[in-house]
Amino acid sequence: MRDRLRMQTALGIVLLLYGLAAIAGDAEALVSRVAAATKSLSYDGIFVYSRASHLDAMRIVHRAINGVETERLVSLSGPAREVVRDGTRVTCTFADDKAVMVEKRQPSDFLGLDLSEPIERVSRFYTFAIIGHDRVAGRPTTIVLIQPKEPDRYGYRLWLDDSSNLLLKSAVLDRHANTLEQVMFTQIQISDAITDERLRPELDGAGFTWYTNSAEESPAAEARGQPATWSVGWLPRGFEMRNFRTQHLAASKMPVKHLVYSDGLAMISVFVEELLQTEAPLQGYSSMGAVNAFSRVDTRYQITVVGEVPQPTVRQIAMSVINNQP
Amino acid sequence: MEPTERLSMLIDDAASATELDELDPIASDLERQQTWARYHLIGDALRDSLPTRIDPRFANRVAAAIAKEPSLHTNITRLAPIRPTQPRWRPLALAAAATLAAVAILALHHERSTNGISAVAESNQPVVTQLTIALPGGTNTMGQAATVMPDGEYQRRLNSYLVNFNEQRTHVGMPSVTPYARVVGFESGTER
Repeated sequence: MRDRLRMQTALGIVLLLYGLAAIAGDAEALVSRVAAATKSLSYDGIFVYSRASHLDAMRIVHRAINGVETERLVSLSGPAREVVRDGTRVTCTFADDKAVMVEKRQPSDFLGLDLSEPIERVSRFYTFAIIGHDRVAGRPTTIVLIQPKEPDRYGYRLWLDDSSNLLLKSAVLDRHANTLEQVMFTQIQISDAITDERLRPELDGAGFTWYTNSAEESPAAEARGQPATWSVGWLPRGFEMRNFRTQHLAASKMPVKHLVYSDGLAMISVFVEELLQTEAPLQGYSSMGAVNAFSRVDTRYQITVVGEVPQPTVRQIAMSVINNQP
Repeated sequence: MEPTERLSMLIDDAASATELDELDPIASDLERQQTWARYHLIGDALRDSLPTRIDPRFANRVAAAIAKEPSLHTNITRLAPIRPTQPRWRPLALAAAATLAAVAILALHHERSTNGISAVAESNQPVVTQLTIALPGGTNTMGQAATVMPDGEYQRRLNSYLVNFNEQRTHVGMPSVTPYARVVGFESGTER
């Protein structure tokens, strides 16, 4: 009798663990389908974006045809601002600053970056769980909670559209499960019939100051692969370099080295640029929702780390950046 | 011993137990409270261990305080001149110098009966928001004369980094509705 009870208990535990693993597996599978849906679907929607005490409404029009994405994002509250991007450039128009920033891209820039991280690898650093169901923008969704196993990165709560797998609501969470920022659709139309008219910019930038990068090709030796000159001495566990590029940014007079790292979910950019004698450096922290930045100066170079990770993490990374050829 | 010297010794952990007892009049003197807070900030600046969060508007007052303190002024030029106004990405919260001073004194009273004075500096850490200190007329680490970059240039450089970060973010990592919401949604110079 006693042995039978033990056996039943053991079987129960096994079934429970199996069930939990299956649920986690389902959650991982759901998340792995979101990226494809976000890129491959065409949609027109209105969403709210909140962080700290700020709340903004925006409209996004996204069209994907044969793998080519075109997108227009426009503010519906606060100053009139608009971001239009296609495969070759990102144009940001700020009516309040009367400025337009154009970041051109060579077709070869960051090619191959579209790496869908194997979810099994991401699972080494995060746990996945389906925690319930909800309704967003009038559509049924499944809620997935992604928690980091270490405190040097953030967690996520995702509301995934049951019919399209599109991400209809997302929240970035700190290690105390406080929400740092949220995006939530209030209305969305998923349709292949997105016309050119809907993607046409509302702000033409006439009379504004334009800042455009030259989009020159990087020197061949540094265009790809490991950056020979600069290296990062410390990264959170699981972060690996995804790319390196020498870029000409619209707001920088000198070429900027851009190193990209990711653990599969969170991303960190390391920017290094030489300062001209007339330029004063950026130093210290900046924050924008769940994105933190830390800037410092190494001799005549400006080092800025931008990442969707906590402030201590960006700072520690920035402090570990070293010049291998001083 | 001058009151300011005594304060300086206390901050440097060089005061005796008797001198600790002399803190009571300091705690009730507003001017000395401000001096106390100022010395802590100057000490932190010299040790390059300023709090990670500080009200940028506070920077000018700290710079002015440094200028008024010749005895602690000798190594100031080793610090790089830092932007006196905050970048486009606004800090999360603001704090006031008066709060800082009050916290320093209150914490001091508390710590006297527990672990000693060294914990006071730690008590200041979470009070402030963002490190941005300007040293007027100073030199930076490149030995150049300090220059003041127009607001727009700082903002544009940060925004440019943000745009490029988000451009990569659309390809790497957690699927997102649009990372560019952060570009559209950043705060302007005034509260929206």
